[in-house]
Amino acid sequence: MTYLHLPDHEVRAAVWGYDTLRPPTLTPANLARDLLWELHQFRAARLSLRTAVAFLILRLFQRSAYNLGWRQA
Amino acid sequence: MPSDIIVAPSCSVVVPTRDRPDGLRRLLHTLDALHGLIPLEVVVVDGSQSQATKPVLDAWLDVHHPFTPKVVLQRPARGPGQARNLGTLVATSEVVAFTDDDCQVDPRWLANLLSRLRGGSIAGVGGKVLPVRRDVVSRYYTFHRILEPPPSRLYLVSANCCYLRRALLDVGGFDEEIRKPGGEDVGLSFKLTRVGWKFEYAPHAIVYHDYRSNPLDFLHTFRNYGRGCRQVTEKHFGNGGIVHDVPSSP
Repeated sequence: MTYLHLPDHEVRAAVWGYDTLRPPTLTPANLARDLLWELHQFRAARLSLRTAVAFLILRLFQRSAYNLGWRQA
Repeated sequence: MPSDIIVAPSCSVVVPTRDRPDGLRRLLHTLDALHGLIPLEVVVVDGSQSQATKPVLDAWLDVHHPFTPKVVLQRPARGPGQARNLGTLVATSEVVAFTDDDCQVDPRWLANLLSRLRGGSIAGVGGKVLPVRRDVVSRYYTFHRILEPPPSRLYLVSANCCYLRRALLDVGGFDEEIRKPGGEDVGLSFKLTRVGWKFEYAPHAIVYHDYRSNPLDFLHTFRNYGRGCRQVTEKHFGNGGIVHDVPSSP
C-alpha cells in the first residue's frame, strides 16, 4: 500500500495544532507546553480568567480522552 | 417564493440520525427554511434503536416541503459512516451535503456551501460551525474550531460539508469500519486526497451545533475521536508518516 505523504506539521506536533491527528504523548513537559500555548491563545483572545480556567480544565479532559481513545484503537 | 431562490436539481442533503428525535425535528424545521438554494431532496437515514424517531419522520413525510423528503431505515445500524453511505446511494444529485441531527442550518447554508464548489480538483467544501448555546463546553468547541476543517484543509468534518457524489462513490464513501462517530469523515478526506482531490472552506456556510455540555459526554466524544482518528491515520499514512513528537512549540 502506498501511504500519503503530507508535510510533517500536518501529522505531528508537540502541542495540538489545528491539524494534529496523532496526539503528543501525555508527559508533564508536553502538557505544560500545551497549556502554556493555550494560555497564550486565551490572552490574545482576551478571555476572562473564569473562562480561561474552565477552558484549561476542558483541555486536560480533551487531551486525556483523545489519547486514551488513540491507545485503545 | 422569493425571487432569488434557485431550485438546484444537483444537490441532496443527507442526515444520519440515531435516537435524537427532538434534535432531528429542529434540524428538519431549519432545512425547510433554506433559501438561496434549495436541495432536490433531503434523505434521512434512521438508525434509531428506540421508536421515538418514527413519529417525527412520519409527520415530516406527511407535510409538503420545497424538496423531496426521503427516509432510509438503517438496519442493522452500523455507525454514521454506513448511514452516510446509504444516504449517498439513495441520493440522486451531483452534490451531496451532510449535516447531523444535533445541528441546525442557517437559511443560506447550502447556497454558501455550494458557491465554493467551483470545479477543477475541488471535491468537497466544509463550512463554519457555531454553537446553539453559550455554555462553556459549546464555547470551547467553537474557540478551537473543533468541528471545522483545519487551515490546511487536510480534512472536512461531516457536521457541515458537501461532496461531489461521483467522487464519494469512486473512493467507496465513508469508512464503515468505524462504528462510533469520529474519524470516519477524516478517513474519507484522506481517501479523496489519495486520488488527487482537494477541499475548500466556506466561512459563510453556517451550521449551528447543539453540543452536549455534560463532562462525561465530552470525554466520550474525544475518546471516540482519538480511536477513529488513529484507525484512519495509520491506514492512510502508515507508520512512516506518523512520527514522534517534535520538541518545539509552534
